[in-house]
Amino acid sequence: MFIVFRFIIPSLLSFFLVSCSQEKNISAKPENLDLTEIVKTYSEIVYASYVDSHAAAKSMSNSIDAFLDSPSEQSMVVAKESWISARLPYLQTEVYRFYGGPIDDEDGPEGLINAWPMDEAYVDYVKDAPESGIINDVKAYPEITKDLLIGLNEKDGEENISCGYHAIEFLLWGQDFQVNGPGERTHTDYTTAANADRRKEFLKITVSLLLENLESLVTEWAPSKENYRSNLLKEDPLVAIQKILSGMTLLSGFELAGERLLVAYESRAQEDEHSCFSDTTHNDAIYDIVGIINVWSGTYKALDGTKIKGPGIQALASDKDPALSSRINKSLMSALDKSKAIPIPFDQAILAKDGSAPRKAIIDLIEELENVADGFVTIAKNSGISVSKDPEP
Amino acid sequence: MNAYKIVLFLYLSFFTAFSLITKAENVLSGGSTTVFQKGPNAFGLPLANITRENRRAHVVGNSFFNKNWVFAPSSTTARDGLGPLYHARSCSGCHVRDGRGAPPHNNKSGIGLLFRLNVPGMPNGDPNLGTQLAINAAPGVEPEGKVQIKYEIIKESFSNGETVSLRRPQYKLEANPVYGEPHPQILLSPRLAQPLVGLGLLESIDENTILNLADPDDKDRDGISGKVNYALNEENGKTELGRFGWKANQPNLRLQTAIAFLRDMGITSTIHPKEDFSNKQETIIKSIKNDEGPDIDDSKLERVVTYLRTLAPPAQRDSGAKLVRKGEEIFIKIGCAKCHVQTLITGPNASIEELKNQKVRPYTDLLLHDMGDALSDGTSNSKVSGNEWRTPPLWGIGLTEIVNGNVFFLHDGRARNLQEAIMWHGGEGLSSKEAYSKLSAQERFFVLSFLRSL
Repeated sequence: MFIVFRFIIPSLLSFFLVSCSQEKNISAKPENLDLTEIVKTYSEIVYASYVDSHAAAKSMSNSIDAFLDSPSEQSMVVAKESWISARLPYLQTEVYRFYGGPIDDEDGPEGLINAWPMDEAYVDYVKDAPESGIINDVKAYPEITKDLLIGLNEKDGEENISCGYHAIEFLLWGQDFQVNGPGERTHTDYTTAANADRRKEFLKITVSLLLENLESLVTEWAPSKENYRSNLLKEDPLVAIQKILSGMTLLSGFELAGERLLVAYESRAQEDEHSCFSDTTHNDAIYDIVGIINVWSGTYKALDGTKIKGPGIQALASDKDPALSSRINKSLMSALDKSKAIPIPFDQAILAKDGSAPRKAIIDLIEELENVADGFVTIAKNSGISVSKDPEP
Repeated sequence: MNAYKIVLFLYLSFFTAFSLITKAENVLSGGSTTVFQKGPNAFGLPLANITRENRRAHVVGNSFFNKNWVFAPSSTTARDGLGPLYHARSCSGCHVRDGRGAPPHNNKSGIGLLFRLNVPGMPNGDPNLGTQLAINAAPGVEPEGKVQIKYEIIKESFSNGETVSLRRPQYKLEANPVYGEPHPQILLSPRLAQPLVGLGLLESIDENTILNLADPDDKDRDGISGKVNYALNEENGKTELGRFGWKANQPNLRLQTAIAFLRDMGITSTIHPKEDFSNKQETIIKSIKNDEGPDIDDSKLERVVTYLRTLAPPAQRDSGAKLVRKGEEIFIKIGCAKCHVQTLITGPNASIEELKNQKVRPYTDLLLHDMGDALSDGTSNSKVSGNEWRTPPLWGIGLTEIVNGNVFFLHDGRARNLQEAIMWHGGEGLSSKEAYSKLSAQERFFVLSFLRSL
């Protein structure tokens, strides 16, 4: 009898366990909703938004080339405007981070594209240190090359940033000491100032590096190729959705509400502001949220006006729990409104008194983004998957 | 047949319920605060049950814990005040990913190891260099010196004839002559940066719970005493039960954090408004900054404290595996759990709600034990002898390599793996070490497997 027990019990147990887990998986997949379609729509949006990011960066590159060919106040203004425009599609792609996809897997280019906060003195002169930075250190770095900048990025400290949007931003605007406006670097930094040629070279190289890195992302998400996208579409759609929801949760909660808004809100320090040289931190919040809404609603409007529309995460949420879905939708729309209500410039808003309107606007946005992140965690749970509010490197 | 089914059903439900209970208790090292990630960020996570408000404080504290501080005056005003004498630029410089520091190895600097300075009969350390060696300094100021480390290899044997080689460190201070010769009787006390998981839970254990574990006169004659370090609370001037640091010198996390900011980074606070200079240094270093007010204000200090308070302990892994269970049995049998106490319960008066009344498994009694002459730092000034060290918690110890990329144990990082750490136990730990060395190779493997599951 005992022998029988020893055999039967484990096998029965494993039978129960297997059948339970299978049942769970089956019940997690809704009958009338094709999860594969959600992943397909997502892939389409990711691809289109990286194509747009690359195109906008290309047009920024042209403007910066024009500026460097004949530096003037006017050509510098055009270059700056092109940077601001180039950020808008890229910010919408930030929601594809945080799950080890092409942007931030082990050799992903995120650190070369959008690293911050940046120690400006690592790259160029700053107030009270006219000879600081790679640009002015002719002895240590006789020649400024692409490999040099890649090698120096985040070397000996995560604030030692030599590449990406924020390095370009600093080279166009300079440090921001203005109360009501951005930094006031002048075009003479590229004509008569010390090491003007090296500054030109630095800016040119970091722009071309940005283009290369954006192009690699386009390649990974292009249709009908053997790439990350094709592999993602082969996976169990719930595994893909877990990744998608992780990106949405961590961008809204951990990154935007936490690292970018809350830390600056509490420290009241410009050094914790995301786009501190150009005073465009409000755009960072707005277009990150637009990116989350793209994935949520399964829609994307491309720069050339074409539209993508398919089932998004919202479809999954509504299928599980319509009330929750509409609550999240409301939160997202409210977060977008609140992001547009952040007083500009952000670096002055954080300095205001506690309880004042500017600070209240920021903390309200933080609160709403936390609601959004909590909502995404609940959707995941309802779908039988789990997403964390804290990133796993 | 029916009866058979009923018996089977009862057996099954009982078996399942029982295994679930034992599993749950084992796995949840921090009660409902426990987290389950086991990757490189496993030590950096907030308590699983954290409130939104405390999560915010955690996020902000994390920023001040992670990012480098800079010299004052600077345009980066939120984080200036580093030095002028300092060891590291940030907390995370030594507590890498909230984990353990390392002595110099493979051409790496070994910033995770620092040195306290003691001179017999002098309460404030070396008359010229003060209480802790600063290996770095602001521009225009000289660092205090550095320490050369050499290791002598010694052999220890197990009963079955196998041997293990251990490293005995030898330190040589190369002091910067700028501050004058160090005292001829100067003693170096090395301290490795400790992992930070579960600190809030340790702070929340009632004083009486710890006092009940103490047995300073070894009345039960088991060879283990366990002594409280009644330490000075530098904020209120009272003598209190010490819990934190290798010598249990600090009664709470706020004080531990403030003293680390001061000594390790030269950052003053309301608790320590003056830099940690010797009298001689006071006169030599004409402070290059105007020292008005603390470098870190109280609200930021509190955020860092909350950050530390809310770092969650990771769950035990593979607790059901046979070799882990066997290893735990032996761990208890040979007396390890007498100091590395497995289960404690946090009190109802914890600083934050999430930490209250949690059944936790930290593997420490927070008490001082004589660990033998071989581990002594030779000091004799304070009430804590050179041989005495506070039992370090073991939760998360099996994740050290994944989090930090290296493993170095004990107060000075001399042990290169868990077995070496066990083999250095002397004094009150000697009988357990001897029992360990009498185990079979397989039994030793069980013990190590158990430790790696923590």
